[in-house]
Amino acid sequence: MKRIEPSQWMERSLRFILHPRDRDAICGDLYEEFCEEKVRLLGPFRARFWYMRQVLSFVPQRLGFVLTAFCLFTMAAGCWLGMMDIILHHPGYAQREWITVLIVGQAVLTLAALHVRSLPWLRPLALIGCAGIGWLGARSFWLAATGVNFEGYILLISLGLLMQAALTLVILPSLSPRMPRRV
Amino acid sequence: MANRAAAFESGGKNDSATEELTTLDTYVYIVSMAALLGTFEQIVLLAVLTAGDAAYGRAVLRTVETNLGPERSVSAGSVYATLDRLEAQGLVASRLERGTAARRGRARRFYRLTTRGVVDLTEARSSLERMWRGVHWPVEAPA
Repeated sequence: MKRIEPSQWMERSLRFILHPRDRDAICGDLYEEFCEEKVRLLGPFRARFWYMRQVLSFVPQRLGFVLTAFCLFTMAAGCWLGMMDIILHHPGYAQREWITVLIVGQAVLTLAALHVRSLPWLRPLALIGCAGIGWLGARSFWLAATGVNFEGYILLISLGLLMQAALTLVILPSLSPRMPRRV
Repeated sequence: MANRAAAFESGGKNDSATEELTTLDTYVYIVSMAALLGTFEQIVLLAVLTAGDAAYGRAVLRTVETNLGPERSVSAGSVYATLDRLEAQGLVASRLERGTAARRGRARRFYRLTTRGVVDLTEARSSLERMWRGVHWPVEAPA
């Protein structure tokens, strides 16, 4: 008789979500529990549902990793926009330079608030700043989406800013000073 | 200092004592409160303790599930995150051991309480016992 196992895509998702240190141990634990207990107690369908719930329960722990990725993206995008403005000298470039400095500064501040737990005062600053980049992202998105000239890169960067602002709002208030979380 | 403690305990109702409070006192109080173990942390530590030598991830998860009862759903994510946090705080230590065929050869991570873990767990229990002393059980709802 064929052994009922968790779906491969769910196991792959779990491995992807988990920190490399924990991948083998946690995947093994859940596999064992699924095969030896849950299938027998709940039946294959509900056991798969149980497994999916367990996979989803690990997602919040890895949101810090996603926020880090978005911060690095907006930081790189801000540097690129700043460089382009310095090289091309389009009208109003000096004002845009300030905006890129703010984008890069906010990304650095958020990364510091996320990773340097010994400086908790960085968190309120990053939260205040995220309101600014959220507004900037929403405004840029609206202008890029409704403007005459469609500029895809502005749309992409503004989406990055919006995601960074939303994730900052979700993650930073829930950080505990005692909790060195792996991101 | 006694005055300051009285101010904290009275929730600021004792005005003369409240005047004595400083920002530093408040900070010290908040930090010492944060150092107390949370309920779920205590549950996980007790699960590690009761599972003994067999305290690997799945066993801890099952012990927590069994002890909390079927009406409370426990997610693996919360148990492993707590273990992770307790390990980072030095309250538990872990070691990896080779896995069996039942888990397709994947390693098992075994947990054990450190001396600090035992001390903190004992302290948490003593604090709670002190708090409950003099409280009539069952606690009556205010009219």
